[in-house]
Amino acid sequence: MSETLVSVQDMKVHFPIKRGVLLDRTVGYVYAVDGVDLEIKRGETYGLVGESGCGKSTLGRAMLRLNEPTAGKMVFDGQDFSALKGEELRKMRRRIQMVFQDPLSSLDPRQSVESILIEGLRAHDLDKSKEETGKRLRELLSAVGLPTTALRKYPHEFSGGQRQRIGIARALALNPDLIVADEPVSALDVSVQAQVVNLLEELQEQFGLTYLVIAHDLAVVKHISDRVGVMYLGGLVEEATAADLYAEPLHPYTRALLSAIPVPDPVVEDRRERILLAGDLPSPANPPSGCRFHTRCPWRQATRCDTERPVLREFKPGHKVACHYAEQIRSGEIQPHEVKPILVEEEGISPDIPLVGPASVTEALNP
Amino acid sequence: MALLEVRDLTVVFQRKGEEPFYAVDGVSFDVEPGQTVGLVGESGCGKSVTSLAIMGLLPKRGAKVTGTVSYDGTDLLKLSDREMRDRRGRDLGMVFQDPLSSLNPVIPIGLQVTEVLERHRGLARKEAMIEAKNLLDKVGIPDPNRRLKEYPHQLSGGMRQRALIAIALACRPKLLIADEPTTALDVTIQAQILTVMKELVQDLGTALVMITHDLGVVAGLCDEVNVLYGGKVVEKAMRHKLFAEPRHPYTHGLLASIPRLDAAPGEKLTPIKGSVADNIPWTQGCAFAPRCPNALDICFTETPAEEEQLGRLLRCHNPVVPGTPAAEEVPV
Amino acid sequence: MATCRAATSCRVCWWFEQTLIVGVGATLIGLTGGLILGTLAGALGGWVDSAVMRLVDVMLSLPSLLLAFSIAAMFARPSQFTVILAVAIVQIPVFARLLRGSMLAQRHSDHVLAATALGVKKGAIVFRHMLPNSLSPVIVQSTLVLATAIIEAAALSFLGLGNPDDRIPEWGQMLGDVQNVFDTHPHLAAYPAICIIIVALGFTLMGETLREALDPKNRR
Ligand SMILES: Nc1ncnc2c1ncn2[C@@H]1O[C@H](COP(=O)(O)OP(=O)(O)OP(=O)(O)O)[C@@H](O)[C@H]1O
Ligand SMILES: Nc1ncnc2c1ncn2[C@@H]1O[C@H](COP(=O)(O)OP(=O)(O)O)[C@@H](O)[C@H]1O
Ligand code: SF4
Ligand code: SF4
Ligand SMILES: [Mg+2]
Ligand SMILES: [Mg+2]
Repeated sequence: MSETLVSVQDMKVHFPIKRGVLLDRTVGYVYAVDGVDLEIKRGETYGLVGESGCGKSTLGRAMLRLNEPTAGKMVFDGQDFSALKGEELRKMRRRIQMVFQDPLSSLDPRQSVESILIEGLRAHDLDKSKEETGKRLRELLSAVGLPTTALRKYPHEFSGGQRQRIGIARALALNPDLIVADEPVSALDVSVQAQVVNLLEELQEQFGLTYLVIAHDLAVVKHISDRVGVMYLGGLVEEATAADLYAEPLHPYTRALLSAIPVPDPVVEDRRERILLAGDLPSPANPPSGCRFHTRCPWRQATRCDTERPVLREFKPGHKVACHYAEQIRSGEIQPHEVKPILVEEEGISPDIPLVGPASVTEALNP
Repeated sequence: MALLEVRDLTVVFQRKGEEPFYAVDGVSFDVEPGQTVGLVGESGCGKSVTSLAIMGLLPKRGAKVTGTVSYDGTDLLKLSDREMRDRRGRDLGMVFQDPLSSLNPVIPIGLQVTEVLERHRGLARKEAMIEAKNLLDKVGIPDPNRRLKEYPHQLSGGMRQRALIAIALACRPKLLIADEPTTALDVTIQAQILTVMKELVQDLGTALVMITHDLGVVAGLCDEVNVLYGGKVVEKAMRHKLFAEPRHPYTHGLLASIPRLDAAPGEKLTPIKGSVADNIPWTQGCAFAPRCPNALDICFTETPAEEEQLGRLLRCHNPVVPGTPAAEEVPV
Repeated sequence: MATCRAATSCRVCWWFEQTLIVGVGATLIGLTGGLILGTLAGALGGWVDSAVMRLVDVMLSLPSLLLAFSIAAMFARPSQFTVILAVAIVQIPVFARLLRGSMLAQRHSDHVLAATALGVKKGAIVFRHMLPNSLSPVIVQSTLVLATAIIEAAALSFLGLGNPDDRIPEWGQMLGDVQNVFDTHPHLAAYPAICIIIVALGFTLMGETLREALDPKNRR
């Protein structure tokens, strides 16, 4: 069961920053994903964590080709998914599905649940007969724990957790091999989060699914994943099994991240040593030279850190890290020191606002 | 007498042709100087409405506020709009969840801080500038001189939240209400902001009301915790007691459904079944009853009263008894 | 004088029908044109988008009345149809830009991404997901445009570019008629004005109802 299902090779996504009123000029790039390699084995759950804006969603979308990657490729089950075109690509999409963060906006408000679930079947000519489709829909609903009466309702009639179940049912409808779940529980209430996390785990067992779970909450990712990749500013900085990562974080960023997450236990909280990072995440449009983390790294050294970009290397079997000084930091030879926060220039690009130029001159002049 | 005493605070939203809606339903709590009191609960349980009611920021039309909110002996609910405006900023500070929409986008940060200083503390422009710089420095904004001249959109989310805290602190209010101040931020930034807030409480003796849905934040910051459900406080206890032995089935269920960073591998989560949509009205019984694993028949017919039980305030007919698991396996 | 008043009142009713034809006709044609251009730009993006939007820019940068005037003047024989056409063409860019904007927002929305990930065909995505969810603002706009269309049609006929047939009256013509007696009977000018307000209001309400009826949140 250790056959590789997905292999991402040197994936890059650079979004051009356009300026200019009449003729768009490219004035720079947002290096949202900048050289990521990762492998996901069949049947496992790979968790991707990192702060907002570090490129997690963009990577997930590029893998599904919802964004076209700038460079690199994804090999899916032995086939080069990035090279597929037209009909071939569309057919192949059946095997890779996605679950979105916002359960409401990812469902078309004008579609009933039935039509949402049938849409994929229809696109791949899988709704042969009425009875069979009906049976399939009922199966799907019971798999995600919704009553069959849900079929004729519209998304706005459900609660957040139920909507997310609809989104999961839609992804399941086509019997995919891989499900990419982008922040599947972060929009949900705490008490409902656990229901969806458990549901995802049960479905994985039942249907032998492979997951890529993207989240900013390391506790959720650690709970659900077999292996975890930590992203910082467009690149992976550490990769290990969930237990290993928690037991022995090697990268300074992972250490800081782990120490920053609040634990719902006052006894633990009172005793905890926090590694407080100075300043903000630098802008991905203007990433720091060398090690991307060097502007905030409490272990930063005078040599190599700001000149040479560390590669993700195997530190010990199954545990990779991208830091020049991982050995010395682990042994305690290098001690953390104070870091002066550096001003981060906001590019005025918000991840929430799609970068679309003004529709016309008149719109640009009087918005 | 405590600095802030909230008694039986009730907020009813009444829309024409609709049933009155009890967003906050008889909430009481005290806050002492230098103390942090937490309000936790899920989305829609009335946390924000409570804070807005204390600050007198609810719309006059449509929202009916009853009960008392006494600050240093005066009932804030009885003050006129004018008097309340004077108090806000001077005595009461507030930090909101969304820092961008609570800052004025067309005024530089510096001016927004000095404005408050000039108005409430009567400082001259020059002094105000110096004080503003100190404030930004105190909340951890690098290079404050330059930041003072920048507009909110030029700052990152974390920096905006700090600016907002700086504004709230400008008049050294004795009471600060923070409504999900870190929910929109990354954990590493959240850690920075929470550290700043902790220092404030310790160094200045500010009384802090911390509103959040994150039990982890509560565990590290609050002295006393109020757990809200459907507009009522269902459990109120000191932090160590609450987390060590949650007695209300809802609190217990919440803690069992959070994945913990320090949990053993393979540990299962036990979610609470259903969602807030299943609640029954409090007038009929216990709102949590349809979701509660401990529910008895009486829970559907009789409203539980707030009582001193097991060394804390509880609103429950059948609290979780030590040693027995409250939540059973819930089918998903 | 009495006959004149009676004639005006009667002509107001007559005018009502004519105005409806011109206003609704122009709006519908403008809407259709705008929908086609807006859909092309919003759905295809890239150079199609740029080309369409530059065309729209050019049209919007000219004063609408002047544009309608030039278009109407291009026809050798002015008629009611030329008025409709002239007014319609002026409205096209308004609709096109509005639709393009909301289509673009839809293109980046999660449910469209979800449909793409499901492998739904591009055409189906555009017509089943993007277009229906982009229409609300356009529908609201069309009720506003209707009022403008009526006024512009009136202006054209006032300037003598409308239907030359005197038996089919329009607001502009009527204003022209009333001009001579305005000093003594100003209320005669008020009739057409009141009518136009009522009509515009009626259509705005209709648009609002239509939008509400199409909103899935009101569906059970
Ligand atoms: N102006 C209003 N008119 C009517 N109902 C309102 C109004 N403001 C809030 N409510 C309702 O009051 C209830 C409590 O709202 P509140 O904003 O306090 O929730 P909250 O606990 O802060 O939740 P969240 O965690 O989502 O911020 C909700 O059901 C909300 O819909
Ligand atoms: N369509 C886009 N055009 C330009 N920049 C984008 C676009 N989508 C995302 N970005 C930028 O790429 C970076 C990574 O974004 P994203 O992958 O959404 O982050 P995450 O999911 O980790 O929060 C951000 O800086 C964001 O602003
Ligand atoms: S390479 Fe240097 S700057 Fe980067 S994480 Fe390692 S020690 Fe820190
Ligand atoms: S009163 Fe009854 S239903 Fe409510 S929490 Fe207690 S045991 Fe559960
Ligand atoms: Mg994301
Ligand atoms: Mg709130």
